[in-house]
Amino acid sequence: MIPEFLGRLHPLVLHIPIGVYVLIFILQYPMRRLRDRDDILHSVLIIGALSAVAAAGLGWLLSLEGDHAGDTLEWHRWLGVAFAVSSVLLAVIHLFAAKGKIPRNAYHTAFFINLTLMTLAGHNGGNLTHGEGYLLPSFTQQDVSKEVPVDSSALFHSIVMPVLERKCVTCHEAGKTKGGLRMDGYARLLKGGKHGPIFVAGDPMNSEMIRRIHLPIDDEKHMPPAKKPQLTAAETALLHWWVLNGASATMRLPADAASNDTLNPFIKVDAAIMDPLTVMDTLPSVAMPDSTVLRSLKTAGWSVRPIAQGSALLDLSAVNMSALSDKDLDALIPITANILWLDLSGMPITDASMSVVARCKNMRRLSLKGTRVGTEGIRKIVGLTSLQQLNLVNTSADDAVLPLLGNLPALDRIYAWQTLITPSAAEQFRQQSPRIRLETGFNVKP
Amino acid sequence: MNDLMKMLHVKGRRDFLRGSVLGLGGLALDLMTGCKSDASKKAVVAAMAEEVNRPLVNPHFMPRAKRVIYLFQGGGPSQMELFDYKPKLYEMHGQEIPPSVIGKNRISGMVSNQYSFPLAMPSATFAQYGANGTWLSEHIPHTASIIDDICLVRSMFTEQINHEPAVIFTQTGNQLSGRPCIGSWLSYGLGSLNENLPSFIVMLSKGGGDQPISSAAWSNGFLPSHHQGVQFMSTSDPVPFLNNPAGIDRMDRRRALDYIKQLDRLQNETWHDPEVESQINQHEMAYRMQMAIPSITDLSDEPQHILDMYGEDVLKPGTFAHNCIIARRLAERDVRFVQLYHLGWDHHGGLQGGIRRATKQTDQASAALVKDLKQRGLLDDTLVVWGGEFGRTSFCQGKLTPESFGRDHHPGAYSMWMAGGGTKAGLVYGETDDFAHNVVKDKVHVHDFQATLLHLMGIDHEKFTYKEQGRRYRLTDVSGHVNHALLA
Amino acid sequence: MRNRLLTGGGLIIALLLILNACGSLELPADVQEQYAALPEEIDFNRDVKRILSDKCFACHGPDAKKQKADLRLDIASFAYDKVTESGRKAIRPGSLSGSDVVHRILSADPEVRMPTPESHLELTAYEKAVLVKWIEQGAEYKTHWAFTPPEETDPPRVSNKDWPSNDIDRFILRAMEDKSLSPAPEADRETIIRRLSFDIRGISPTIAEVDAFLNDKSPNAYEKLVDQYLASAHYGERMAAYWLDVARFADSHGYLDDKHRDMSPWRDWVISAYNRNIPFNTFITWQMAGDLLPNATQEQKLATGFNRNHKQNSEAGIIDEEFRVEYVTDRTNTLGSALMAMTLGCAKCHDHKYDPVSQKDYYSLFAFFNSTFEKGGPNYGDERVVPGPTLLLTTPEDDKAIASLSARIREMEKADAAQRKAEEARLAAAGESEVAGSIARKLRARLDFDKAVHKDPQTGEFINLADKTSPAKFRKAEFGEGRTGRSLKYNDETLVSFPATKVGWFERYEPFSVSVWLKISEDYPLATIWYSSENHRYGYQGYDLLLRDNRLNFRLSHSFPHDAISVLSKDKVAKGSWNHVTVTYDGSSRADGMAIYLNGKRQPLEVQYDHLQKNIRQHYSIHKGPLNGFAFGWKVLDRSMPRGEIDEFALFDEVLTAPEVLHLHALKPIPAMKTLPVVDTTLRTMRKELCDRLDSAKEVMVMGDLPKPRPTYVLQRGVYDQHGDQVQPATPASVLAFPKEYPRNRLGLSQWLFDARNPLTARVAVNRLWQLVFGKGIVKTSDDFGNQGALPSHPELLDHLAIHYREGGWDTKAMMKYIFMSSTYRQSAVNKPEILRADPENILLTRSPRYRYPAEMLRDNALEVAGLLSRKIGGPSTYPYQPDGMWDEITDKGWRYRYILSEGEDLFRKSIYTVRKRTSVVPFLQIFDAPDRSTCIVKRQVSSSPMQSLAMLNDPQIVEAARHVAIRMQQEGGATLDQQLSFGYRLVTGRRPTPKEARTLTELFGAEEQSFKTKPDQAGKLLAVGSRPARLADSVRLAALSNVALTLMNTDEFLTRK
Repeated sequence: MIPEFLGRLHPLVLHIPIGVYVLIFILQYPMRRLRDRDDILHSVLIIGALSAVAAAGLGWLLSLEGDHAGDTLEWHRWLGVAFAVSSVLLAVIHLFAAKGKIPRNAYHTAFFINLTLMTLAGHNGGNLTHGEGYLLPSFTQQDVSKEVPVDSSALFHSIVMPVLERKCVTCHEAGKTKGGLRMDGYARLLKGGKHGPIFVAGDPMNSEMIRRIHLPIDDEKHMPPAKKPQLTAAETALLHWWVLNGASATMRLPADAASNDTLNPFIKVDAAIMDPLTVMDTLPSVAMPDSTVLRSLKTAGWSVRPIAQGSALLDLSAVNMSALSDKDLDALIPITANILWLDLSGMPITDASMSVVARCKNMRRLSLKGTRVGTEGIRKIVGLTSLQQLNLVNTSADDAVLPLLGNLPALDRIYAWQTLITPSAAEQFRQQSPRIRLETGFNVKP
Repeated sequence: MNDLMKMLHVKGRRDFLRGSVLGLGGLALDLMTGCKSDASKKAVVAAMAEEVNRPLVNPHFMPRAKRVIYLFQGGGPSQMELFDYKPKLYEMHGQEIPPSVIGKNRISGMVSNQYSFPLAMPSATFAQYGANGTWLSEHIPHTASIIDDICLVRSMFTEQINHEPAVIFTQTGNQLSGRPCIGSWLSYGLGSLNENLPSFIVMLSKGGGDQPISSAAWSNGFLPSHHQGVQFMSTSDPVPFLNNPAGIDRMDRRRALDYIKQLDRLQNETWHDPEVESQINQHEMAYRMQMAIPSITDLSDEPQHILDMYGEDVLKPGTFAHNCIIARRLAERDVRFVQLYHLGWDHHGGLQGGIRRATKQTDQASAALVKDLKQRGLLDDTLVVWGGEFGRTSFCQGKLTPESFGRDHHPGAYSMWMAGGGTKAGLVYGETDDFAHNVVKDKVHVHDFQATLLHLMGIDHEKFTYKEQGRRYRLTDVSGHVNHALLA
Repeated sequence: MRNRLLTGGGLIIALLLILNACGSLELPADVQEQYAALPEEIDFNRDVKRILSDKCFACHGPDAKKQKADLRLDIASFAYDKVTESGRKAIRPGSLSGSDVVHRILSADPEVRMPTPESHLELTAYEKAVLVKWIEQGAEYKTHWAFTPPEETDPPRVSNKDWPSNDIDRFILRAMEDKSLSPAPEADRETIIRRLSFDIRGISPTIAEVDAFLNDKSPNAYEKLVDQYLASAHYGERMAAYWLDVARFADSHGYLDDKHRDMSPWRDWVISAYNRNIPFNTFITWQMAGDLLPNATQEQKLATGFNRNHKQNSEAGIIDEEFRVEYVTDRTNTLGSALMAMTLGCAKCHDHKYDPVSQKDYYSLFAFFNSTFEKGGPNYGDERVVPGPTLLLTTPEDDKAIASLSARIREMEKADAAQRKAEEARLAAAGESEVAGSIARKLRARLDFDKAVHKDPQTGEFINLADKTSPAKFRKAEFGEGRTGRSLKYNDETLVSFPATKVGWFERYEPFSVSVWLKISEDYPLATIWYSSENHRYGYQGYDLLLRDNRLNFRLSHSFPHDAISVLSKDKVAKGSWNHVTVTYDGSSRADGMAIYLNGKRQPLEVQYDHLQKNIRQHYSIHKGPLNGFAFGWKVLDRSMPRGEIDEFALFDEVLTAPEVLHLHALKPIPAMKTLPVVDTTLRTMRKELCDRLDSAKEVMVMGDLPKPRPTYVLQRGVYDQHGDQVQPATPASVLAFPKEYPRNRLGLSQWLFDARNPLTARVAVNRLWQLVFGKGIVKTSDDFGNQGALPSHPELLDHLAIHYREGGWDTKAMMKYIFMSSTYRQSAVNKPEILRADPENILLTRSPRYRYPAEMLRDNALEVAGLLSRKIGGPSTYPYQPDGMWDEITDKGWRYRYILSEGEDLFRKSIYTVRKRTSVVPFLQIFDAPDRSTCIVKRQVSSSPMQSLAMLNDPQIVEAARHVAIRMQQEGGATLDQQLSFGYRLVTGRRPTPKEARTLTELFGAEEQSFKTKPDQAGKLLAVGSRPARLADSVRLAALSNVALTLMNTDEFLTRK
């Protein structure tokens, strides 16, 4: 346990010799005229040598731990040892030089050799710690994107880049460079990843990026990974077409873009596909319902279920109840905000009960099938802005209901089979609000 | 040093540095407190308890469908005669099927003694129906009339070529019996909405002279056995032992149950066994079922114009039409999974007569069910599935004669349709080659269909598992992808 | 200067130490908290293995193909040496920061975290803590507990000295005392006798037995009771009922057609084996390899039926080999679940993901069972043809008769042979007309295909020159230039057939000959020249002549290939010319009685099969179409001989001698003579009697191997025809390498199972016995002792019992008695609240377990208390009450099986004999979790559903039982109502009612009587339910008492073991 423990001190201890030798440099040259400089120098040289040896020793212990490997480590190891040895020699040489046994500039050359050894070892150590390009990146690669004028009408930026942003950049950007590849900009696309460039202009078949998006979904190398949202057929075709046509950042939208069936789906705004996984987040967020209320509703016979695990929104149904009076609905008041779907079908409730139902602001589906609720009741719930589906089958709703429902913003489906709504009123309603599908059934009672 | 190493290294270094500062503190803290809490001595033998399988209770995400009605057409309906219009078959009638088309498709033993495989033209004329002019056969006029409400998939394919393994594969995801079927998985996963009725009900109807069906198709497999499909039989007792014996009426039964409860509780004063209460609940549920089930199977409250919609068989128990109207009544009462089996599609011979008889028994009732659900506002969250366990061959089995020929089983390509429950109405998905023998576009494997069905019920098919003998089993076994193109 | 320097350096180092002390990696709070609660010493088998196996082995386990980042954590050396991507070792014993595993499981970053998000597996805080502490304590691996042979440990010392009555109790008590718990008090005698009676005999004790036991003051009263019950025949039935689940016994083949079978003789053997207390190793060895024992007895062969109980598929169009492989797979998996408690089936398609069983290991075990002489698609017909290999269950007097008949037949055959040789010599010397006359006398049918009555060019009737009354109808016939006149030319459709049973309707004891001229022009892998037999789905029953690669193959079959004689001509039939083919058979049921002449010359024969036991004459059954007579050409589902030609067909009811064949070959004329009736020689009558005796014997499926073992290959992805490399029969080295001294067959496998070094067999067996008694084994997963299985709750006790059982000579009754005599068994079943909280799942057996009785016991006990239960043992399966129409629902095929209710005593037989149809199990049994027996089940589920209360309330057999209980209450209960009610309560629950219970019963009876008084006709209807309506004077009183009895039979104490 102990060697490994001490090995850990290496990164700290190694800074001491650096500091000491910089001090020595300052003492030796800029402060040449200091009194009894040699004594100070001598003791500082000893400290330097001591700390260098300590640093090298600890470094050796740390390397045993196998945290790093590869040639940089080997360079760093031997340079470190050499530096330790040379710092001891330096102290000795200085001793002799001070006593005049050997020429002073022998000491100076030794000092500079020592200094170079130190910088080399330090540099290698730094690379080990902070990675290859740490010191020099800012010089070798200027940020190309700055150079190429961003031409918004260029095909790459208007069509290709949005696809990459939607489906690729989440894993290939600054914070997370999977496979060492960054795709958040044309320059980085050119640079490619750990296996080199990812496309060959004009030759999609030999471009790694294109090959991978065509692989079957079960193949491990298939991109984007099976779990992440997939490229649509149109997007795959677009990327293929783009590489085929030179993969350039400046190419303009061709004039006949609209007729080119690879491009035209992207000319129009590409509506995001309504994926049920994402539907969850378009739901209203409400506070979790109080569990004691839920328990009492269950004992009263209500079927109460969250619409999904951990969701605060509820699916309420009276299917298990033999009878339900208007008054019974009051029990729902504490949780009206949580109700997303409410099924009261077959219950003998009347218009009066609609006042409670009207409070369910977030409700999207309401079934009053076979209840005694009529037009008057519906008048009470026109405030339900998020209602999408309303089932009035087998109720006494009549033509007066239609104008009420016409302006409900979210409504898209009304079931009015076997109600008092006349066919002509229904037809007229369908003309006025085509957005809402009014279903009046296939065969009405003769 | 490559990037990954570097990246990990940096992370390792930072972790180490941050860790070390706190570490010492932690060490000291342990030394100072000195006392090791006496957990091991705790009386409760917790550590030994095994990880117990827990049902989902609620779906992973918002479901599109709350109930499923599966109209299973046992025997393998011939796609060439129903949904997959292939003009080429008329031209090449009698000619040998090109070997390239057969490829490495598996041939059933029934035709392995045949030397020639002549193509047989569909024994049906086709016409275009619906908004996007879908070609459908003359045998299914009613289904054709609702083509805009259903999502037709022509590119299904499976791996099994014999009836029993194929049915079991479609129902349980594995060709050998022993695993739970779809209905049992959903009854176990989401439980029942209506407490007075079983959550998974099975009804059989026979088309005449057809292959038997085994109860393994609606078996609970390794799930608790009360998730097995409850079979509604066409005899007097729809469910075994439902009706009270002669001489005992509902009043007597209520009295008996009250006394059983009393005696149980008296007895349990000595034993304190928690199981006794659950037995009492089962008695109460049985009592409620005795009321709820007959109210479904008794069709006297159905108006005539509704009965007429389902066709003339509707009042004959044991027929497909009768089972369809019962299925709709079950859906209205929120039963989770209703599974119909109609056997009668196995036309190895006499295809002309067989296809007409089978469609006459099923077409009108299937369409009526979809229309009835739609007009009652139930189709949105009720998924209706119509299909068999595999398709049939484009070449004929036995001698090709004008008046009678048959087709053999074919796993390579077949059609099925779905309606409601979040599927895209009016979609015609996937294509097969000119001979309806191989799928050429948008293949849908049986496991993909199962994964999509679970997805519509709000379940992620890879997360829904049951651990049995050390393995986490899934309905879709180890494959299956949700087919988003089929979703509305 | 020097000391200043040293102090400075020291100061720096000290500062560093304080500032930079590094401890273990930072543990998240929740893991820290669990870490603190962990026991001192982390044991690999007890704590760690389960976690590694369940959460890591899926990708880093024994499955060579699926070791992601080629890392495996199941073997110490791999885990220690493997340097992972991060440069660290996977596990570096003692060093947390050095072990990549620790980093991976504690990291929050989804890209790095293990187990990966995609695997949907997660480590709980407790599990992370265990792994961390385990690695810290040196990450010591141990071999899996189940793979190290059991070692005897002397029973532990306990503080409560007087509770234990045998060593079992010491182990149990020690485990309790470790958790500072104490056992429950002893149960009262009434409860003990009821519990013992059910556990041993499967039914409740009679009231007389209970009273006798209560009054038996002798000190060993309990032991005497145990011995008495163990000696009763019902013990065998109770143990056999359980073993039938393990052996997947059923009365039907399963799969699509689910044709029926009768293996009841095997069931009878299991019952008698348990009653005779045959040692467990013998019991298993006979079932595994009875047929391989030196001069195996009939009983030993019958026992091997164990491995033939699996499902068999007779669906048309299946591929034979695919399902033959399926049957061998079932036997291998059953060996795994039943005798080794290993989930071997997982290794069929890939290496086992959790246990050290490679795919090669699996197919090495597979090889033991792969040489069975069977077909994948057995007989589609009825029970009269039994899928091979089979055993004739001849009774002792059968054997005597057969022996004497065979001896006398052998004698007479010598004389017959001599007489035939003389006849042959005479004819050889005789003139042409002599030979012709001899032929004519033998002639039965003759067609020259020239003389015919045509309806149209292709259909009509050929005139049978030897018997005008039975012409041969033909359809789709073509004609060619024949040997004489026209020849019959086959196309795909050509069919010529004599009327059934009229021509060539021979049985195997009747000699016959068939001669025909044949011209073929191509090579036929398989073609039928002529046939008087069924197609392959009915085992080719009958006789036929085929071409196999143009070699002549003459066969007589009862059920090909296991019960048939078949010979092949050495050389092929020449193509392009007319050949004269004559076959003769002498009625001896032996291959050497068959001869094939080609162009007059007798051919040397290669014998393919030479074992014909039963009738070859087809029998009519609804499973087949109409009988087909002697025919040529088209045959349903078989290969005819397209483009082949035949001419001059003749059929004889006697063996043709060589001169007669030459005569025919030379096409010399045969005079038309009135055919003489067949003369019954004594040899023929002898043979007929022998054959009838054999035909009447019961036949049962048993194991039987091919003469040369079938080569076995590893099947890639488990697919039947994807042969990998070849393997020899061997056993997994991880359990016990197959010792060289054992033979490499099923007998060797049985010896391996019971080898003292085998770590599994004894433990698995005693664990199952323990489960029979306590409802749950010492290892809860009694079919999985592997890494994913549960750990034994009392490891030392399990080893102790295993060694006790083996060294005690595998004496099952002794082991059962050893358990019954323990105090642990005699504890009361009362759940004291604090005990319920401390040990909710009763893992430490702090009280006697309560669980619902299995389905069979519920029904048997209902009939027992009603006095209806029949004591008859053994025999074919019975058909007790079942709602009507159940079997018609699943198919309406013409041949479907009708459910015909048993009559008389069979209606009330024990449930072990109830028919078990795999595709439709009797509802009462199925509702109470009886399995459909498609695979080996070692532990039944126990579920509770509303269907169960419906069954107990409304099933006619239960309602009828309640009525008979009511009758007994009146006849035996005593005079007063209270006495009768108390008697009824005691009969149903095994104890007298408490005062409160008695009051409730009286109240209930009053209400019932009142209700029947107002509706008198109801009583009559209720008493008529079932098939034994009994009449008593006062029907209202009887009806009321019946309802009381029915109510009592639905209370917990009737349904639950206490």
